[in-house]
Amino acid sequence: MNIRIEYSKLICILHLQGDLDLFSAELLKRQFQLQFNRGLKQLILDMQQVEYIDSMGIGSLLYIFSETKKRNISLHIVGVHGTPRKVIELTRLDRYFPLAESLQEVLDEFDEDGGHEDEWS
Amino acid sequence: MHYREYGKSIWYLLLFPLLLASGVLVLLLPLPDQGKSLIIENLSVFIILVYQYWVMSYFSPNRAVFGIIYTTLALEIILLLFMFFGIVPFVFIQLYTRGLTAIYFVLFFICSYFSILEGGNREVKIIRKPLVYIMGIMLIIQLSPSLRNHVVLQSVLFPFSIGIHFLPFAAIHHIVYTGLKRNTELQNHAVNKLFQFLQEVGEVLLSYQVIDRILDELVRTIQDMTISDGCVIFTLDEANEHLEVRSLIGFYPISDNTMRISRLEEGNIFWECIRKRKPLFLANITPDQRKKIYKDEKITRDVSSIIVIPLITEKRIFGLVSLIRARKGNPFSITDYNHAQVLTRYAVFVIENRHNHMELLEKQQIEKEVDIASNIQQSLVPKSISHSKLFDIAVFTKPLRGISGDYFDVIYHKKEQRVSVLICDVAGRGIPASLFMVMIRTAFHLIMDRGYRKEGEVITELNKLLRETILGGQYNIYLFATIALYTFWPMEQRVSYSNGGHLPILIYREDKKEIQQYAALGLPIGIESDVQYETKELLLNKKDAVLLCTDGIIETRNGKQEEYGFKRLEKNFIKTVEEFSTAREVLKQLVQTMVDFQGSVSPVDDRTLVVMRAMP
Repeated sequence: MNIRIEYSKLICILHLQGDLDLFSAELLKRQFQLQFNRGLKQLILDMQQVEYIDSMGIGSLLYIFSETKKRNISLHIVGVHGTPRKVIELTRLDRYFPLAESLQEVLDEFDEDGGHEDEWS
Repeated sequence: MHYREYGKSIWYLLLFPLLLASGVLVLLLPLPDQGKSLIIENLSVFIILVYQYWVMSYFSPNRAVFGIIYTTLALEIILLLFMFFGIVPFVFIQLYTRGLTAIYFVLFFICSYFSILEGGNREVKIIRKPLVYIMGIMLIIQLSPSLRNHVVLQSVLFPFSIGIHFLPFAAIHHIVYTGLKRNTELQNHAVNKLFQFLQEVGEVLLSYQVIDRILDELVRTIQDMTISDGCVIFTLDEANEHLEVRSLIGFYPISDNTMRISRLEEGNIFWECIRKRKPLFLANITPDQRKKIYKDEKITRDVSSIIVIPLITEKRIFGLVSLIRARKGNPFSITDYNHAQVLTRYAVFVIENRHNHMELLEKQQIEKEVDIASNIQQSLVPKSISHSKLFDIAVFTKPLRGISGDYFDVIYHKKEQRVSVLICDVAGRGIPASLFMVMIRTAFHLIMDRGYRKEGEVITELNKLLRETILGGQYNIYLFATIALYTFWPMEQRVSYSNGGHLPILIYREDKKEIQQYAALGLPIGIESDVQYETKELLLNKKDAVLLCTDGIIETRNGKQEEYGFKRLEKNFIKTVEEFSTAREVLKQLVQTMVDFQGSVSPVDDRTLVVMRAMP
């Protein structure tokens, strides 16, 4: 799996690409910890290019979710579709995870929400 | 090449002052002019022979040239002897000597010129041009008739015309000889260092912290061998984001505080080498290239020559070695570069071997432990499944490797006429998953031992127990499991069930000949403490069948990378249930179709399948 990292202000977007399985789950966790240590405030996981997820992949998402929750980092998971969406729905995690349709949607939301802008800068 | 002659040949240079002196000495002899002239001419032939012999030692020995030298020398001596004993008249000797000298000079000129053209090394070729002029002057002096009759001029010019020949050759001798000496010294130095390195590495292999010590040894040996001003080993950090200094010797221009270089640093030559997986050698570094070593030019301004070699194996890349020279006009040579590469390759090879060896040992140890764990785990699931006239249950479970993250349980309460069936799939595989499975099993039995409770309540409590008591509320260890539990009351033909994030429970309806799915009612367990799980109820008819499975079954793949999938499972379930009556037969057939589907492809997950037939 490939992870491309994009920053804008304190938002960090992790574009995931490939299968999110046992092996890539570790990579994602580590990448998250790294970003986390850099002091991010907003995290977006872009799963537009993830076609497969297994239980360890779900585990890594759960890990990221709980870590962000604990430390008041806002998290959005966007572009979940196909098999990963089915798996997430089957396990009832669709209502638990902060899922959003598209990246643009989330970014627009940030832009509209002017109140936060001051906090970032 | 006759390198061994070099040490001796320095003595030939002494001939130069002897030659100059000999002309003058001959003049002082109490002999007639003709006699003096003859001696001088013979002397010059003799000297030029010796000289020629010496020159030839610089080239590949040419037999023809040596033939001429020896023949001429022999003839000369014979003639001189003849003259001495008065056998041949003096005039003849004089003519012969003059003719011989002339022929010999021409031959000598041609031979040495072409020898230099063909076989001479770089240093000797330098002399080719001056040689043409010198030879020219020599011939004119030797053959000019007016000079031949003037014995005083002859005595000075003859030896001189040959003597000047010694000067360029002496210079070249110096260059070649000292260069060779230095090379030999360097070679010896390199070989000694190499042996030392091999010995050290051999000793290190028997100790702890092998990799650290090998890298230390590598840095020291490379620095020593290439006589560099600084040598450093960088290793990649865990996230592959930084190159960190692992070992450093001498002067090396990197920032002193952090001792690491970020991947994000633009155009950095070290990261460039890592990316390209290729070594780099800049003998004479330009200011632009210097900036790429480290952005602060004040630090890198002294660097004049640099070598960078990545530490790569086929599988991975774990860092790089770099060495520099700081003095101008003293760049690394290609030999230094090769030496550094050979040493690095050897060190990497040793490290990789060691790594593989340790991995193998570890693997063997783990396998042994897994075997033991597997036995323990097998004792934790029901060995035989209870049967009754009212229901029939069969289970297939196959761990991927020894231990399983799948868990099933069947608890039959004879008195209350109920049977509970549980299936659970822990996220992940192997040891962590199987440990979590044991936790779940313990908690589940604790709860079930206290009498019947609704399935939703059982899962709610199980979840709470795992989250708060066993996992200690810790979020870091991320373990979760999907779980489905149902209880069948045969007397009432009733099923009550709950499902925490597990795959749907499949029920085959005998009357409609179709499958109904009962999907998850809540999250998997182990994620949130405060989740309330629902309980739902449904009725079973005679010959209805219930199927539970883990996602290992669904995700079984065939050679075309197709998934077995839910639809195929449902279809096969209907088919087998209609064909066979007992749960055991249905299960056997279902497993067989799955095995047929997968062919020779190995499974990737633990797989469990539980089939119950109501009132067969």
